[in-house]
Amino acid sequence: MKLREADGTAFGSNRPKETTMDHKEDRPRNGSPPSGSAPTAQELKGDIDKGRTGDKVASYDPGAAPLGTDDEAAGTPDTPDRVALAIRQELENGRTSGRAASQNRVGDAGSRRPKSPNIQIYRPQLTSVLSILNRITGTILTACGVILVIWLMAAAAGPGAYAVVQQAIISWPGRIVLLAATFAFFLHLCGGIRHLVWDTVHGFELRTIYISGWTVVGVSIALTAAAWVLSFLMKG
Amino acid sequence: MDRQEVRSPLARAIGFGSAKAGVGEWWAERVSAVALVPLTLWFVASIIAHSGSDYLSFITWIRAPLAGTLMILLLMALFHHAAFGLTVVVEDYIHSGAKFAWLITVRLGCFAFATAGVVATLRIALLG
Repeated sequence: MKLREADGTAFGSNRPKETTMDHKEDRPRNGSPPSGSAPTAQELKGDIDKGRTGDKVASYDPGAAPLGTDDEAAGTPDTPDRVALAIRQELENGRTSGRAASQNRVGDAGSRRPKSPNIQIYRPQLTSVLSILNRITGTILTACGVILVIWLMAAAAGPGAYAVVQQAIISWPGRIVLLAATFAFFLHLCGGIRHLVWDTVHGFELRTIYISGWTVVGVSIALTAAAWVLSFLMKG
Repeated sequence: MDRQEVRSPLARAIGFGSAKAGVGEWWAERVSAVALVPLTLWFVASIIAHSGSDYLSFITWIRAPLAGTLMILLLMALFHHAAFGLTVVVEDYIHSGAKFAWLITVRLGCFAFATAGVVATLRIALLG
């Protein structure tokens, strides 16, 4: 009951401001605030609720309610030029995704808006690097699977075709690819086993995750080296 | 009353809630992964053992019933697993209209290469 009262108050306090926004419906939408007056956070909120930012349909957005008001409550309200900048950027997004907005597609923000998880601002960590490497190595290994099929088809076709493929494999570029493929294989194998252990709901403590992560890296390097040393020994 | 009965079938399908078929795919990807652990290790060990060997010894190796069988199992498990993995990669990173073309390419490509590999192995084992 208390929650409902709180909600009611919140909506009640917002309603009048929303109505004020309705009057501004006719002002030119050229992306800049009306000249001669300092823009407020409420104007931006009105633009968001009207669907002008392009990432939402026209609807009251309770999530945008704290916009500006938190700063006001903290005694550091946004300066008009900061608000003007925010309005300009939001409406620019709305213009670039105008088609999406007109099609009533929700969540398709402007292409200039950075995509979560904003990978360009994060420092790479062992966990994230191994996570993406598992996908990259998986993709590489699929290509290796294709090479395996070509190799088998060549062997099935006869000694001549087999010799051509074999020559390509033992050439220096071929060997470098093969070395990379060996490391990709062991990394994906060890990373995959790590994933299978996680699937049993074990090893999720931060410390354990880093231990298993570095183990995957170390074992993969060791197995790659061992495989190539053994191969050269077998060749004699 | 069950909450799901209140919602229309369309409401249940759009936006939120799974198609309830994800567990099957998740499990199949794990099963193929488990199969690939011994199969790929056997393959890598065999390749190391055949380092520097010629066409005839390679053919002789594949012709052995066990090696031929394991090679076919490897090809099927590998491309089965690859289809699952690449599908997830396409779904996560390709958001344009090309996504559907890629999903179809991945699925059919994996099927085609697995078949081609199995046929080649059988040709070596039976006709070679």
